Amino acid sequence: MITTVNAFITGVGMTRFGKHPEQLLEDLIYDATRHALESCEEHGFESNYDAVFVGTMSAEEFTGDGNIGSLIVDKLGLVPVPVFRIETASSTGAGVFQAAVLAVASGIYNNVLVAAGEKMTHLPTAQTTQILAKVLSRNERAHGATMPALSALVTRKYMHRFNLSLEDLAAVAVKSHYNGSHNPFAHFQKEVTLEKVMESRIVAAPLRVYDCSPISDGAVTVGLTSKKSDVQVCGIGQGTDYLSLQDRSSLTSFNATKTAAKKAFEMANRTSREIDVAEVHDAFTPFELINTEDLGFFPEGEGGKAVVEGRTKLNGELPINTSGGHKARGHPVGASGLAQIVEIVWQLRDECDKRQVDNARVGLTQSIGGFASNNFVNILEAV
Amino acid sequence: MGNRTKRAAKLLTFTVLHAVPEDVDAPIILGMVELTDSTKLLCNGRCQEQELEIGQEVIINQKDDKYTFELKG
Repeated sequence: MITTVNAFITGVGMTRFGKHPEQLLEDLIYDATRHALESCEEHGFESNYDAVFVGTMSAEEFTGDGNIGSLIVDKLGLVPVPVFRIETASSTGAGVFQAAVLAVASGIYNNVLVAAGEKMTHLPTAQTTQILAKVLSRNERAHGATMPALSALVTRKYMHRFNLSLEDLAAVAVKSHYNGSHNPFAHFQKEVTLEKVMESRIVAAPLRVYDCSPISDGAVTVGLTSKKSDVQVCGIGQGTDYLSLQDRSSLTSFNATKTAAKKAFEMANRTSREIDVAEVHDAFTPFELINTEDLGFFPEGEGGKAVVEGRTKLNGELPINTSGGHKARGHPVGASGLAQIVEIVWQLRDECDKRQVDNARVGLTQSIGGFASNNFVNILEAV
Repeated sequence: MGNRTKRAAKLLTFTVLHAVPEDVDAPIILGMVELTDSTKLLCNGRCQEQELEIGQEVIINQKDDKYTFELKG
């Protein structure tokens, strides 16, 4: 069955991702929202809102504040408008987007603001690592597991099974940093060499520092409306998987992505071959390869070859992570999924300047929550 | 409680974690093993990184809810 989703994008905006020592979480969201409202004005969209959807992953732990929905709607000066706070681990930005799409498509709300952010860089890295590890099962944490540790287990298995070299893997970070060098909102805006990636410090063997996304502060805001605009949300999908990696059927792919993708493609009445540009969740470089395979862009085990052959670079047949991805744009965990949406909207509106993809009409985002236990896929089209 | 059992398993994949959470001493070895009934288990390694290889036979020790693996022989 083909479903027509009555949800369209209006203004979008974000802060630069990176270190913002002087700004609180609500300041970052305020700035992102200001940019989104400016974008509404530029494009001639209405900017009165009847609900706000807020996404943060671990604001209570990172900032010590609770009741985040009220904090944000108050800061934005939008009281007494209704506010919801959504959390789906590291896919929160995509989760809150889909919740807002449901609200608009239901007809109950007409204009909704979706705002997602995370404030992380003020804490010591070991403390941040511990907060982030809480998305894993209790059993895994009891054995000392962290996100990088489980990612490393998957990476080594993938490399062994599909004969991927460390050099091939490093090519992902090189591409992401190149794209990030063309993105004024990216945490890292400098290119890196293959040698620099391969000589960087080991975090969880075989993963090195340059295989891991950074800890970042940042916020993103997207306007959604039930009235027709130039960008439509055509397909949304979500999928879950068992919390513990040891309970999964595969160590080299993520079923939650496959489930989400199937739903999103069906709803949009599109296939993976029709996607012009995609943002996938590369918290760790090997995820980009696994994701592009789970989404059906490349056969299983061939995601690495596609990167090495340049098929996913800016002027390749299917540009992946034109923003620089989580790797270079940065990863304020609750905000990243919504930043992916913004990059696709900018691509569809031809607003990406040096990283613009020619004739981008259909774009896709894929977001991983926790260790791929709650994943989302969104398909957006220029209409 | 305090029960100990030993089981044979195969090492599916492993890592040496250098960046550890606050309350853990680095580095730690983590391995995903497969038991003879195809169950997978996350375990801590009691061995040297250089000795490890995907597919090798290991022995699993269980103490309460914690699992460790060591090389066979």
